[in-house]
Amino acid sequence: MTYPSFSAGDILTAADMNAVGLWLVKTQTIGSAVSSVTVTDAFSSTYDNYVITVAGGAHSTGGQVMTISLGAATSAFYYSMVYTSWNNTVTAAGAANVANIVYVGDADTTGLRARIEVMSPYLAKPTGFSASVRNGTFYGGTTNGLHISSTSYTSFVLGLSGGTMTGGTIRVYGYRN
Amino acid sequence: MTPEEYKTLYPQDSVYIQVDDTERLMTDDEYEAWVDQCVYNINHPLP
Repeated sequence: MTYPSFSAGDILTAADMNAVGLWLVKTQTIGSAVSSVTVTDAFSSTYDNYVITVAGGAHSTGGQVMTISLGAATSAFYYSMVYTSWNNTVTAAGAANVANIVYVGDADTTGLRARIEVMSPYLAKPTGFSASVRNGTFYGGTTNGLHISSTSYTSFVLGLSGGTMTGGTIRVYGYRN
Repeated sequence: MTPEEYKTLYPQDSVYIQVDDTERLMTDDEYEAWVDQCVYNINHPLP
């Protein structure tokens, strides 16, 4: 069998399945008028690296962005967001040793949008983050973050810079080790 | 924006914290901290 192209009726062997790189770990529906969503049992020893996506739903007012933190941690998050106001002038924002990583997704009245790469959250080592953000006609940027701690985490908290969100789906995928 | 103005927009009994499939209202301390953080973010927009 020529991976990754299959034909109807093909038998999937262990070798074929072991070559699958991305697995859906968990799906979480966002409730109504929530300021944050904690997703438990998202990280484990099965995977070292993850991608979290958010789609659908809506923000109460728009013009806000998503944030992320790990477990019950409220400090030691560092981030940098480099952006332009949809032009060629590069500007940046960032913070050191704060409660969460900001600018990891869009929180708009038209929908919630995020794709957050999370590196080594379950390992007892610092956790890396890579994400992007778009805030309407204001700006678009890329965000890199780090949580400097030797703690192992199984959960994360997806929050907002302000306001509330309703609906939408959070999906957690693990990259096969 | 002031915290009082923000509380008018988002009364304490209208904002929830979600853990997996369970939602609950914020405690007084959680609500005050959330309002302060939101107001700070609104009053400090990107340059």
